Amino acid sequence: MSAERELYEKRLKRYLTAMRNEKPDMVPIRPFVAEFTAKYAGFTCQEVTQDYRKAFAAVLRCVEDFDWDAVVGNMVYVFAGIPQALNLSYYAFPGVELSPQVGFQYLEPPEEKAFMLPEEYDLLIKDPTGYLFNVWLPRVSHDIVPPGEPVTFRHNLALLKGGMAMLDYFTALGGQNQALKERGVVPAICGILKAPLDILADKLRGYYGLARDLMERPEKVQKACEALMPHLFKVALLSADPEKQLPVTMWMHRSCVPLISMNHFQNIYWPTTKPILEALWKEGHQVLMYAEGNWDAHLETFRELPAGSIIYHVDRGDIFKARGLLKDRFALSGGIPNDLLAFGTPQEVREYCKKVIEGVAREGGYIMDAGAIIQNDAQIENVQAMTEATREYGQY
Amino acid sequence: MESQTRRAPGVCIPWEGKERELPPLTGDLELVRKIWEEIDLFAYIFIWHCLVSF
Repeated sequence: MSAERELYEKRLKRYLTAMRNEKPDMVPIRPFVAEFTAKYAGFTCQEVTQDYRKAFAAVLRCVEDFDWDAVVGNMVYVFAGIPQALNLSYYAFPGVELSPQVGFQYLEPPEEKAFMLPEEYDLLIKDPTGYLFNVWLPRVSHDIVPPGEPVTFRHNLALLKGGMAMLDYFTALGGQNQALKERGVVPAICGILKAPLDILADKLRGYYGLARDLMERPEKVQKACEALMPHLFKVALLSADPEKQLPVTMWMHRSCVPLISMNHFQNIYWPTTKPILEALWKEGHQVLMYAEGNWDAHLETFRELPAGSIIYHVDRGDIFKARGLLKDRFALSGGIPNDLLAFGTPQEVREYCKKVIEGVAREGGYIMDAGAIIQNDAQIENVQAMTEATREYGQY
Repeated sequence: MESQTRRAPGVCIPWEGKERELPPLTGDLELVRKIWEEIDLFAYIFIWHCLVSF
Protein backbone atom coordinates (compact mmCIF):
# COMPACT_ATOMS: atom_id res chain seq x y z
CA MET A 1 0.00 0.00 0.00
CA SER A 2 1.37 3.42 -0.93
CA ALA A 3 2.00 6.00 1.76
CA GLU A 4 -0.79 8.18 0.35
CA ARG A 5 -3.22 5.29 0.34
CA GLU A 6 -2.30 4.44 3.90
CA LEU A 7 -2.76 8.06 4.93
CA TYR A 8 -6.13 8.18 3.18
CA GLU A 9 -7.35 5.06 4.96
CA LYS A 10 -6.20 6.42 8.30
CA ARG A 11 -7.90 9.75 7.75
CA LEU A 12 -11.07 8.14 6.43
CA LYS A 13 -11.32 5.96 9.53
CA ARG A 14 -10.73 8.99 11.75
CA TYR A 15 -13.38 11.05 9.95
CA LEU A 16 -16.00 8.29 9.82
CA THR A 17 -15.46 7.38 13.47
CA ALA A 18 -15.98 10.97 14.57
CA MET A 19 -19.09 11.32 12.39
CA ARG A 20 -20.52 8.21 14.06
CA ASN A 21 -20.15 10.11 17.33
CA GLU A 22 -17.34 7.84 18.48
CA LYS A 23 -13.77 8.50 19.56
CA PRO A 24 -11.13 8.27 16.82
CA ASP A 25 -7.35 8.39 17.31
CA MET A 26 -7.46 12.19 17.18
CA VAL A 27 -9.87 15.00 16.37
CA PRO A 28 -10.29 15.14 12.59
CA ILE A 29 -10.00 18.48 10.84
CA ARG A 30 -12.28 19.16 7.88
CA PRO A 31 -12.15 22.87 7.02
CA PHE A 32 -14.67 24.01 4.43
CA VAL A 33 -12.14 26.18 2.63
CA ALA A 34 -13.67 28.24 -0.17
CA GLU A 35 -12.07 31.45 -1.48
CA PHE A 36 -9.34 30.94 1.12
CA THR A 37 -7.81 28.40 -1.27
CA ALA A 38 -7.45 31.12 -3.92
CA LYS A 39 -5.72 33.41 -1.48
CA TYR A 40 -3.33 30.68 -0.42
CA ALA A 41 -2.57 29.40 -3.92
CA GLY A 42 -2.13 32.83 -5.48
CA PHE A 43 -5.30 33.01 -7.54
CA THR A 44 -7.95 35.71 -7.64
CA CYS A 45 -11.54 34.99 -6.63
CA GLN A 46 -12.40 35.54 -10.27
CA GLU A 47 -10.03 32.78 -11.36
CA VAL A 48 -11.37 30.14 -8.98
CA THR A 49 -14.99 31.09 -9.70
CA GLN A 50 -14.72 31.32 -13.47
CA ASP A 51 -12.33 28.44 -14.04
CA TYR A 52 -12.97 25.35 -11.98
CA ARG A 53 -9.62 23.90 -13.00
CA LYS A 54 -7.94 26.68 -11.04
CA ALA A 55 -10.32 26.14 -8.15
CA PHE A 56 -9.38 22.45 -8.09
CA ALA A 57 -5.67 23.30 -8.33
CA ALA A 58 -6.00 25.72 -5.41
CA VAL A 59 -7.60 23.04 -3.22
CA LEU A 60 -4.90 20.53 -4.12
CA ARG A 61 -2.20 23.08 -3.34
CA CYS A 62 -3.73 23.61 0.12
CA VAL A 63 -4.02 19.94 0.99
CA GLU A 64 -0.39 19.43 0.05
CA ASP A 65 0.63 22.06 2.60
CA PHE A 66 -1.95 21.71 5.40
CA ASP A 67 -2.51 18.59 7.48
CA TRP A 68 -6.24 18.27 6.82
CA ASP A 69 -8.18 15.02 7.00
CA ALA A 70 -11.02 15.96 4.68
CA VAL A 71 -11.98 18.85 2.42
CA VAL A 72 -14.58 19.64 -0.22
CA GLY A 73 -13.23 19.28 -3.76
CA ASN A 74 -14.40 22.78 -4.59
CA MET A 75 -16.10 24.81 -1.87
CA VAL A 76 -16.30 27.78 -4.27
CA TYR A 77 -19.21 25.68 -5.30
CA VAL A 78 -20.76 27.76 -8.07
CA PHE A 79 -18.75 27.28 -11.26
CA ALA A 80 -19.68 30.53 -13.01
CA GLY A 81 -19.68 28.84 -16.40
CA ILE A 82 -23.07 27.30 -15.65
CA PRO A 83 -25.04 30.41 -14.63
CA GLN A 84 -23.31 32.40 -17.36
CA ALA A 85 -24.31 29.86 -20.01
CA LEU A 86 -27.89 30.02 -18.71
CA ASN A 87 -27.66 33.81 -18.37
CA LEU A 88 -29.10 33.69 -14.85
CA SER A 89 -29.99 36.95 -13.21
CA TYR A 90 -29.32 36.14 -9.56
CA TYR A 91 -25.54 36.15 -9.30
CA ALA A 92 -22.85 38.78 -9.26
CA PHE A 93 -19.45 37.37 -10.15
CA PRO A 94 -15.92 38.50 -9.36
CA GLY A 95 -14.29 40.08 -12.37
CA VAL A 96 -17.70 40.79 -13.92
CA GLU A 97 -20.02 42.72 -11.62
CA LEU A 98 -17.61 42.60 -8.66
CA SER A 99 -13.95 43.16 -8.02
CA PRO A 100 -11.83 40.15 -9.05
CA GLN A 101 -10.90 39.72 -5.38
CA VAL A 102 -14.44 39.45 -3.98
CA GLY A 103 -16.34 36.17 -3.66
CA PHE A 104 -19.43 35.73 -5.82
CA GLN A 105 -22.71 37.03 -4.44
CA TYR A 106 -26.30 35.83 -4.60
CA LEU A 107 -28.67 38.65 -5.48
CA GLU A 108 -32.15 38.34 -4.03
CA PRO A 109 -34.69 40.31 -6.04
CA PRO A 110 -37.06 42.78 -4.36
CA GLU A 111 -40.36 41.25 -3.29
CA GLU A 112 -42.27 42.63 -6.29
CA LYS A 113 -39.82 40.94 -8.65
CA ALA A 114 -39.74 37.55 -6.91
CA PHE A 115 -38.93 34.59 -9.14
CA MET A 116 -42.22 32.99 -8.16
CA LEU A 117 -45.41 35.04 -7.86
CA PRO A 118 -47.75 34.50 -4.89
CA GLU A 119 -50.57 33.40 -7.19
CA GLU A 120 -48.39 30.63 -8.65
CA TYR A 121 -48.39 28.31 -5.62
CA ASP A 122 -50.96 25.98 -7.18
CA LEU A 123 -48.86 25.62 -10.32
CA LEU A 124 -45.81 24.71 -8.26
CA ILE A 125 -47.80 22.32 -6.06
CA LYS A 126 -49.37 20.53 -9.00
CA ASP A 127 -46.16 19.95 -10.93
CA PRO A 128 -42.89 21.18 -9.38
CA THR A 129 -40.65 19.95 -12.21
CA GLY A 130 -42.91 21.41 -14.88
CA TYR A 131 -43.07 24.69 -12.98
CA LEU A 132 -39.30 24.91 -12.81
CA PHE A 133 -38.85 24.32 -16.54
CA ASN A 134 -41.80 26.33 -17.80
CA VAL A 135 -42.08 29.25 -15.41
CA TRP A 136 -39.12 29.56 -13.05
CA LEU A 137 -36.21 29.01 -15.42
CA PRO A 138 -37.50 31.43 -18.07
CA ARG A 139 -38.00 33.99 -15.31
CA VAL A 140 -34.53 33.71 -13.79
CA SER A 141 -32.76 33.53 -17.16
CA HIS A 142 -32.33 36.44 -19.53
CA ASP A 143 -32.18 34.05 -22.49
CA ILE A 144 -34.63 31.22 -21.88
CA VAL A 145 -38.18 31.92 -23.04
CA PRO A 146 -41.35 30.33 -21.63
CA PRO A 147 -43.58 27.97 -23.62
CA GLY A 148 -45.73 29.88 -26.11
CA GLU A 149 -43.15 32.51 -26.93
CA PRO A 150 -41.00 32.35 -30.06
CA VAL A 151 -37.93 30.23 -29.56
CA THR A 152 -34.69 32.12 -30.09
CA PHE A 153 -31.13 31.18 -30.91
CA ARG A 154 -30.08 32.36 -27.46
CA HIS A 155 -32.79 30.24 -25.84
CA ASN A 156 -31.60 27.11 -27.61
CA LEU A 157 -27.98 27.79 -26.80
CA ALA A 158 -28.63 28.64 -23.16
CA LEU A 159 -30.30 25.29 -22.53
CA LEU A 160 -27.71 23.37 -24.50
CA LYS A 161 -24.69 25.13 -23.03
CA GLY A 162 -26.11 25.13 -19.50
CA GLY A 163 -26.62 21.37 -19.63
CA MET A 164 -23.22 20.74 -21.16
CA ALA A 165 -21.48 22.99 -18.64
CA MET A 166 -23.16 21.21 -15.73
CA LEU A 167 -22.23 17.79 -17.08
CA ASP A 168 -18.65 18.96 -17.63
CA TYR A 169 -18.40 20.29 -14.09
CA PHE A 170 -19.94 17.30 -12.36
CA THR A 171 -17.73 14.93 -14.33
CA ALA A 172 -14.65 16.97 -13.41
CA LEU A 173 -15.65 16.94 -9.73
CA GLY A 174 -15.39 13.17 -9.78
CA GLY A 175 -11.81 13.51 -11.01
CA GLN A 176 -11.08 16.08 -8.31
CA ASN A 177 -12.27 13.71 -5.60
CA GLN A 178 -9.97 11.05 -7.01
CA ALA A 179 -7.08 13.55 -6.96
CA LEU A 180 -7.79 14.24 -3.29
CA LYS A 181 -7.73 10.56 -2.45
CA GLU A 182 -4.42 10.15 -4.28
CA ARG A 183 -3.03 12.80 -1.94
CA GLY A 184 -4.31 11.00 1.11
CA VAL A 185 -7.25 13.35 1.68
CA VAL A 186 -10.91 12.38 2.11
CA PRO A 187 -13.56 14.14 0.00
CA ALA A 188 -15.61 15.55 2.88
CA ILE A 189 -19.16 15.39 1.57
CA CYS A 190 -21.23 13.90 -1.22
CA GLY A 191 -24.69 15.02 -2.16
CA ILE A 192 -26.85 18.05 -1.58
CA LEU A 193 -30.08 18.76 0.25
CA LYS A 194 -32.02 21.90 0.94
CA ALA A 195 -35.11 21.96 3.12
CA PRO A 196 -38.34 22.74 1.26
CA LEU A 197 -39.03 25.95 3.18
CA ASP A 198 -35.45 27.15 2.70
CA ILE A 199 -35.54 26.61 -1.05
CA LEU A 200 -38.89 28.43 -1.27
CA ALA A 201 -37.22 31.45 0.31
CA ASP A 202 -33.88 31.15 -1.47
CA LYS A 203 -34.87 30.75 -5.08
CA LEU A 204 -38.64 31.04 -5.45
CA ARG A 205 -40.50 33.55 -3.29
CA GLY A 206 -37.54 35.30 -1.68
CA TYR A 207 -37.29 35.78 2.07
CA TYR A 208 -39.65 38.75 2.27
CA GLY A 209 -42.20 37.14 0.00
CA LEU A 210 -42.11 33.92 1.96
CA ALA A 211 -42.39 35.75 5.27
CA ARG A 212 -45.54 37.45 3.96
CA ASP A 213 -46.91 34.15 2.62
CA LEU A 214 -46.42 32.48 5.99
CA MET A 215 -48.83 35.02 7.42
CA GLU A 216 -51.26 35.40 4.52
CA ARG A 217 -51.37 31.93 2.91
CA PRO A 218 -49.67 29.44 5.24
CA GLU A 219 -51.67 26.51 3.87
CA LYS A 220 -50.24 27.15 0.39
CA VAL A 221 -46.72 27.32 1.79
CA GLN A 222 -47.26 24.05 3.57
CA LYS A 223 -48.62 22.32 0.47
CA ALA A 224 -45.75 23.68 -1.61
CA CYS A 225 -43.25 22.30 0.90
CA GLU A 226 -45.01 18.95 0.79
CA ALA A 227 -44.87 18.96 -3.01
CA LEU A 228 -41.15 19.77 -2.97
CA MET A 229 -40.27 17.08 -0.41
CA PRO A 230 -40.07 14.00 -2.66
CA HIS A 231 -38.07 15.93 -5.25
CA LEU A 232 -35.54 17.30 -2.80
CA PHE A 233 -35.22 13.81 -1.35
CA LYS A 234 -34.66 12.43 -4.85
CA VAL A 235 -31.98 15.03 -5.64
CA ALA A 236 -30.22 14.21 -2.37
CA LEU A 237 -30.42 10.48 -3.03
CA LEU A 238 -29.18 10.78 -6.61
CA SER A 239 -26.17 12.82 -5.50
CA ALA A 240 -25.37 10.82 -2.34
CA ASP A 241 -22.28 8.68 -1.81
CA PRO A 242 -22.98 5.24 -3.34
CA GLU A 243 -20.69 3.73 -0.71
CA LYS A 244 -22.79 5.38 2.01
CA GLN A 245 -19.81 6.74 3.91
CA LEU A 246 -19.72 10.47 3.24
CA PRO A 247 -22.64 12.58 4.37
CA VAL A 248 -25.15 14.42 2.24
CA THR A 249 -24.98 18.09 3.23
CA MET A 250 -28.12 20.04 4.05
CA TRP A 251 -27.30 23.72 3.74
CA MET A 252 -29.60 25.38 6.26
CA HIS A 253 -30.43 28.98 5.54
CA ARG A 254 -33.27 31.08 6.89
CA SER A 255 -35.88 28.84 8.46
CA CYS A 256 -34.88 29.30 12.08
CA VAL A 257 -36.21 31.55 14.83
CA PRO A 258 -36.22 34.57 14.66
CA LEU A 259 -36.21 34.59 10.84
CA ILE A 260 -39.45 32.63 11.02
CA SER A 261 -41.68 32.04 14.04
CA MET A 262 -41.47 28.94 16.24
CA ASN A 263 -44.99 28.10 15.12
CA HIS A 264 -43.95 28.06 11.46
CA PHE A 265 -40.82 26.13 12.28
CA GLN A 266 -42.76 23.47 14.20
CA ASN A 267 -45.72 23.23 11.85
CA ILE A 268 -44.24 23.77 8.40
CA TYR A 269 -40.44 23.59 8.32
CA TRP A 270 -39.86 20.60 10.54
CA PRO A 271 -42.72 18.34 9.36
CA THR A 272 -41.49 18.79 5.78
CA THR A 273 -37.79 18.38 6.55
CA LYS A 274 -37.63 15.64 9.17
CA PRO A 275 -39.17 12.96 6.87
CA ILE A 276 -36.47 13.64 4.25
CA LEU A 277 -33.71 13.21 6.82
CA GLU A 278 -35.35 10.04 8.12
CA ALA A 279 -35.78 8.65 4.62
CA LEU A 280 -32.13 9.31 3.78
CA TRP A 281 -31.07 7.60 6.99
CA LYS A 282 -33.27 4.66 6.10
CA GLU A 283 -31.32 4.48 2.84
CA GLY A 284 -28.06 4.48 4.81
CA HIS A 285 -27.05 8.11 4.33
CA GLN A 286 -25.99 10.44 7.12
CA VAL A 287 -26.76 14.13 6.68
CA LEU A 288 -24.44 16.93 7.69
CA MET A 289 -26.85 19.59 8.94
CA TYR A 290 -24.87 22.68 8.10
CA ALA A 291 -26.71 25.12 10.34
CA GLU A 292 -25.75 28.51 8.95
CA GLY A 293 -26.44 31.31 11.41
CA ASN A 294 -27.85 30.36 14.78
CA TRP A 295 -30.28 27.44 15.13
CA ASP A 296 -29.93 27.06 18.91
CA ALA A 297 -33.69 27.49 19.41
CA HIS A 298 -34.25 24.18 17.64
CA LEU A 299 -31.69 21.87 19.18
CA GLU A 300 -34.31 20.04 21.25
CA THR A 301 -36.34 19.43 18.11
CA PHE A 302 -33.35 18.00 16.26
CA ARG A 303 -33.08 15.38 19.00
CA GLU A 304 -36.15 13.74 17.45
CA LEU A 305 -33.98 12.41 14.61
CA PRO A 306 -32.58 8.88 14.87
CA ALA A 307 -29.33 8.74 16.81
CA GLY A 308 -26.36 8.91 14.44
CA SER A 309 -28.43 10.01 11.47
CA ILE A 310 -26.90 13.49 11.31
CA ILE A 311 -23.76 15.44 12.07
CA TYR A 312 -24.77 18.83 13.44
CA HIS A 313 -22.59 21.71 12.29
CA VAL A 314 -22.47 24.87 14.39
CA ASP A 315 -21.92 28.28 12.82
CA ARG A 316 -22.97 31.15 15.07
CA GLY A 317 -24.81 29.03 17.58
CA ASP A 318 -23.38 28.01 20.93
CA ILE A 319 -21.36 24.86 20.33
CA PHE A 320 -21.15 24.12 24.05
CA LYS A 321 -24.92 24.27 24.35
CA ALA A 322 -25.22 22.05 21.26
CA ARG A 323 -22.83 19.58 22.84
CA GLY A 324 -24.91 19.48 26.02
CA LEU A 325 -28.18 18.89 24.20
CA LEU A 326 -27.07 16.64 21.36
CA LYS A 327 -24.03 14.77 22.50
CA ASP A 328 -25.76 11.49 23.27
CA ARG A 329 -27.24 11.43 19.77
CA PHE A 330 -25.06 13.16 17.17
CA ALA A 331 -21.53 14.26 16.34
CA LEU A 332 -20.80 17.97 16.02
CA SER A 333 -18.56 20.01 13.75
CA GLY A 334 -17.52 23.64 13.40
CA GLY A 335 -17.88 26.33 16.02
CA ILE A 336 -14.68 28.28 15.33
CA PRO A 337 -15.83 31.84 14.55
CA ASN A 338 -14.94 33.06 11.07
CA ASP A 339 -14.36 36.57 12.36
CA LEU A 340 -11.67 35.16 14.63
CA LEU A 341 -9.97 33.61 11.61
CA ALA A 342 -10.19 36.96 9.82
CA PHE A 343 -9.34 39.42 12.59
CA GLY A 344 -7.86 37.43 15.47
CA THR A 345 -4.26 36.49 16.14
CA PRO A 346 -2.86 32.97 15.74
CA GLN A 347 -2.62 32.74 19.53
CA GLU A 348 -6.29 33.66 19.94
CA VAL A 349 -7.22 31.05 17.34
CA ARG A 350 -5.17 28.41 19.14
CA GLU A 351 -6.81 29.22 22.47
CA TYR A 352 -10.30 29.09 20.98
CA CYS A 353 -9.63 25.76 19.29
CA LYS A 354 -8.29 24.40 22.59
CA LYS A 355 -11.42 25.60 24.38
CA VAL A 356 -13.69 23.93 21.83
CA ILE A 357 -11.75 20.66 21.85
CA GLU A 358 -11.74 20.55 25.65
CA GLY A 359 -15.39 21.51 25.94
CA VAL A 360 -16.83 19.49 23.10
CA ALA A 361 -14.50 16.79 21.85
CA ARG A 362 -13.26 14.95 24.94
CA GLU A 363 -15.36 11.86 24.21
CA GLY A 364 -14.96 12.04 20.43
CA GLY A 365 -17.79 12.95 18.08
CA TYR A 366 -16.34 16.27 16.98
CA ILE A 367 -14.85 17.47 13.69
CA MET A 368 -12.82 20.67 13.68
CA ASP A 369 -14.01 23.39 11.29
CA ALA A 370 -14.88 27.04 11.17
CA GLY A 371 -18.49 28.07 11.65
CA ALA A 372 -19.03 29.01 8.02
CA ILE A 373 -17.14 28.40 4.80
CA ILE A 374 -13.69 29.95 4.93
CA GLN A 375 -13.31 32.76 2.45
CA ASN A 376 -10.41 35.00 1.54
CA ASP A 377 -10.83 37.23 4.60
CA ALA A 378 -9.30 34.45 6.74
CA GLN A 379 -5.64 34.99 7.55
CA ILE A 380 -3.38 32.21 6.35
CA GLU A 381 -1.52 32.09 9.66
CA ASN A 382 -4.83 31.74 11.50
CA VAL A 383 -5.93 28.77 9.40
CA GLN A 384 -2.51 27.29 10.04
CA ALA A 385 -2.98 27.92 13.77
CA MET A 386 -6.37 26.16 13.69
CA THR A 387 -4.75 23.19 11.95
CA GLU A 388 -1.82 22.98 14.37
CA ALA A 389 -3.99 23.45 17.45
CA THR A 390 -6.25 20.61 16.32
CA ARG A 391 -3.27 18.30 16.13
CA GLU A 392 -1.73 19.53 19.36
CA TYR A 393 -4.82 19.51 21.57
CA GLY A 394 -6.88 16.93 19.68
CA GLN A 395 -5.02 13.75 20.55
CA TYR A 396 -6.87 10.99 22.42
CA MET B 1 -41.55 9.09 0.10
CA GLU B 2 -44.70 9.23 -2.03
CA SER B 3 -45.17 12.00 -4.53
CA GLN B 4 -48.62 13.46 -4.96
CA THR B 5 -47.58 15.66 -7.86
CA ARG B 6 -48.15 15.23 -11.56
CA ARG B 7 -44.61 14.33 -12.54
CA ALA B 8 -42.86 11.77 -10.36
CA PRO B 9 -39.44 12.56 -8.92
CA GLY B 10 -36.73 11.69 -11.44
CA VAL B 11 -39.04 12.11 -14.42
CA CYS B 12 -39.56 14.90 -16.93
CA ILE B 13 -41.35 13.11 -19.77
CA PRO B 14 -42.80 9.84 -18.48
CA TRP B 15 -42.08 6.76 -20.56
CA GLU B 16 -45.78 5.90 -20.66
CA GLY B 17 -46.43 9.04 -22.68
CA LYS B 18 -43.42 8.57 -24.91
CA GLU B 19 -44.28 4.96 -25.63
CA ARG B 20 -47.60 6.00 -27.13
CA GLU B 21 -45.75 8.15 -29.68
CA LEU B 22 -43.68 5.26 -30.99
CA PRO B 23 -44.64 2.85 -33.76
CA PRO B 24 -45.05 -0.80 -32.79
CA LEU B 25 -41.54 -1.82 -31.79
CA THR B 26 -39.77 -4.58 -33.65
CA GLY B 27 -37.14 -5.15 -30.99
CA ASP B 28 -36.49 -4.90 -27.27
CA LEU B 29 -39.04 -2.56 -25.67
CA GLU B 30 -37.32 -2.66 -22.30
CA LEU B 31 -34.06 -1.42 -23.78
CA VAL B 32 -35.76 1.55 -25.37
CA ARG B 33 -37.53 2.33 -22.10
CA LYS B 34 -34.36 2.03 -20.04
CA ILE B 35 -32.37 4.40 -22.22
CA TRP B 36 -35.26 6.85 -22.46
CA GLU B 37 -35.55 7.00 -18.68
CA GLU B 38 -31.80 7.30 -18.15
CA ILE B 39 -31.50 10.31 -20.45
CA ASP B 40 -34.72 11.82 -19.13
CA LEU B 41 -33.20 11.66 -15.65
CA PHE B 42 -30.35 13.90 -16.84
CA ALA B 43 -32.89 16.61 -17.66
CA TYR B 44 -34.43 16.18 -14.21
CA ILE B 45 -31.03 16.45 -12.55
CA PHE B 46 -30.27 19.54 -14.61
CA ILE B 47 -33.35 21.53 -13.63
CA TRP B 48 -33.30 20.55 -9.97
CA HIS B 49 -29.62 21.34 -9.61
CA CYS B 50 -30.29 24.71 -11.22
CA LEU B 51 -32.68 25.30 -8.33
CA VAL B 52 -30.78 23.68 -5.50
CA SER B 53 -27.09 24.01 -6.36
CA PHE B 54 -26.57 26.88 -8.80
